[in-house]
Amino acid sequence: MSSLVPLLAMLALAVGLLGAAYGLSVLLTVRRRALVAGPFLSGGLATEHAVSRFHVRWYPVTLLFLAFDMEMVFMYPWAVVAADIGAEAVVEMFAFLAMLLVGVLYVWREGGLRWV
Amino acid sequence: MGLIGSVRRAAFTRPHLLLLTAPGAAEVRIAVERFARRRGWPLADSPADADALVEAGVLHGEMAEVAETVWRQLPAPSIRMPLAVPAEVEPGLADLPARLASWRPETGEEPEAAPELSMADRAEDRDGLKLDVLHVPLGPLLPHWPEGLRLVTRLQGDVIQHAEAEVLGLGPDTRSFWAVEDRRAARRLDAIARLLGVAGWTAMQWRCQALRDRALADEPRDRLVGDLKAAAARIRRSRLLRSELTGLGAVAGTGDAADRLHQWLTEVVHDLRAPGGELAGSHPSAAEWLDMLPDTVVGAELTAARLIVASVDLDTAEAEQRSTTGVHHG
Amino acid sequence: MVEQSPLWSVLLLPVALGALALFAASLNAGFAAAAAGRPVVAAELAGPLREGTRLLVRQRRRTARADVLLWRLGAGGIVVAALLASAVIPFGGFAVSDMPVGVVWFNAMEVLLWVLVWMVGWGGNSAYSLVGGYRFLAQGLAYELPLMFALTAPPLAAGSLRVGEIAQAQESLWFVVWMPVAFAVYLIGLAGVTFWGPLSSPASSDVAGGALAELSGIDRLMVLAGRYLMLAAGAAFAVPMFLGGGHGPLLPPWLWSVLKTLAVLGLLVWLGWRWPRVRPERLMTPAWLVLLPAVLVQVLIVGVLALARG
Repeated sequence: MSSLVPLLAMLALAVGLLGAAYGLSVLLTVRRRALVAGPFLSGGLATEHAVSRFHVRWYPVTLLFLAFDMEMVFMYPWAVVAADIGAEAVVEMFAFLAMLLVGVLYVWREGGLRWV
Repeated sequence: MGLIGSVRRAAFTRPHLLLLTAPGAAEVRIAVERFARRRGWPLADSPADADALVEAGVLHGEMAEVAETVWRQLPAPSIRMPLAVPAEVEPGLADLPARLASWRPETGEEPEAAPELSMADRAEDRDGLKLDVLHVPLGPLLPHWPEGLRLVTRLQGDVIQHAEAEVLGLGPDTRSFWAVEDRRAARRLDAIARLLGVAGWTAMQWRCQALRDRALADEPRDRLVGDLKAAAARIRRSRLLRSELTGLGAVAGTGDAADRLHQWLTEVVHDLRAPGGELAGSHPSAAEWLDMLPDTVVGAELTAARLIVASVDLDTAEAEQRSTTGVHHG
Repeated sequence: MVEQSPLWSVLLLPVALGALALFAASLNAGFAAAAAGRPVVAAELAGPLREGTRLLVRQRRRTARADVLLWRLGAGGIVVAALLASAVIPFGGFAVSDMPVGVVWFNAMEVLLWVLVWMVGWGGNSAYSLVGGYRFLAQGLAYELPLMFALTAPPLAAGSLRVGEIAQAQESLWFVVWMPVAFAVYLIGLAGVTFWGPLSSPASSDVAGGALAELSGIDRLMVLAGRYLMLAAGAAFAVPMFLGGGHGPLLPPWLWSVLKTLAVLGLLVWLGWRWPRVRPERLMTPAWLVLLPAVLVQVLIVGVLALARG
């Protein structure tokens, strides 16, 4: 628990420092009211919202990423105890990782890593 | 005001410049780039980061509208600085820090009303999905971009689905700066620097710009050729750059972007040794490139499209006055 | 042994991290001057201070129909994430927080940048900045897994996720000696997190500054400062993880930590000026087919050696 107290203190301090920086800018800025401008479009005028359903072409990779990301949940605790448990732990973890890597090969073969 | 005044002076000793160049005004642009590089003044990527809008050359027609639009997007303090001829560059820019430090808001300025925006339309995607489409113009005001060129694109995600090319701001007095034959080496170096700028190799971009400026300044050729060969060898050795450019914008006769870069490097060394003479290989004209560009960038991701455009030595001042069919302005 | 320093040391950490970030920014300005052919004098190295002042003076900016809340949270959040990440890093014998799961904490704070940078790109309601924000995610999908696996190698060897104990385990031999691949992958990942050098496409000039395109004034300053703070935190974290922490002859341990951090920062800044940028679409294949298997083999070797030793 005692290691969390400094982290909370740091969070409060960081937010305080941000506030101080914004305060300083209010003091120093040549004009306090923010400029409201159209988005920069190389000199063109905006006619539509830019925020849209952005076509993320790498979505197959996100699924692959999730599979490994879940694996990371096991990886950290495993790293702490692997040496104590012994060869068994190392073999099991890398057998599992090898199976995930087969998934990488599959996605690669299907062209999922090329997104344009 | 003493303290605030000195803070403001210190803040604007190196203003950031947003550079908008008219077709044919390459000489003014080069003078601004040289000034900025020597003094360490950054060139801004967008109006948000610019202290001054520098208009290089005379802006005709739609280029003048572009300048108006962008000028309204610069936050305060900001200075609008038209520089019609190269001789105006040094004195005009030298005044900027003082003008910015003493900038005062004009009274009675009302903020612009936010424009009404519609939601993005949807259209068929090549994956057989119906997805949002954004209409995004590339140019005429973008870093490392040909003067006056506008590519009107339809984007899905960051991939170009459709594009049309046009050249804005051609006036009756527009003449190409590069039409003189002994400027050919400098022209190639300018194009190489631009391509390296898009590719994010800033150090080499500046090195090539400095070589370009020396080539224009009629420096003794032997020393210049030596330095140039060293730079060219360094560029050729970069496997990363080669692999970034290979396969981009392949056009019959000129090869892909990597081939064109290597062709330029060869030509520059050759031209500096013996100016003039016929060039080997195919060199499409400005009009031909304008016809080919839209098809070449369709299907490319934005960075790839930017590299393709920069890998084409397109002198917009040589384009005929015309608008692409199907593009309406207003 | 690393001990937790008293609570007031929380006040020192932002100063120390700020100084490290300023060092990196000044060094970067020095490299810029040298690349442009200008003499590297004090006025060049003071560039970041001048730039910071300029951004404090400039007017802020808002785009039409922007998602202001997400936009501003993203900009400020990067600074907060970098400071929180640095709290578990021991400088010599002292850390602000000697957390039992310090490595996981650093990892979590660093991953916060995924959402923060995306929010900066999204919030402006501008096509270029939107593209920049999504590029950060696309790059993240490439570098983040190799980075996380690289972060598991030192804990595996030390048998602990406590950063201080990991540094302690390197008294006789720095981990970088037998985990060079993990160290290299860590540096690549750090460049990705801070969109640095060849991995800078989320904020590159080809999309008018990408995620930064619409930011001015203090909001821009916060993103730029946050980026350098994160770079400094990442460099400082590499020291206890791979470079022996405070271990070294003659000098006091805290000074060794600082010197090694400066060396890592110098390396990153230098490398940033050496190469062109990698196109965002071209990162996936080498990251998944080369980096990931390479770092897994590295972790396997570390695991086998850890078994043999203990």
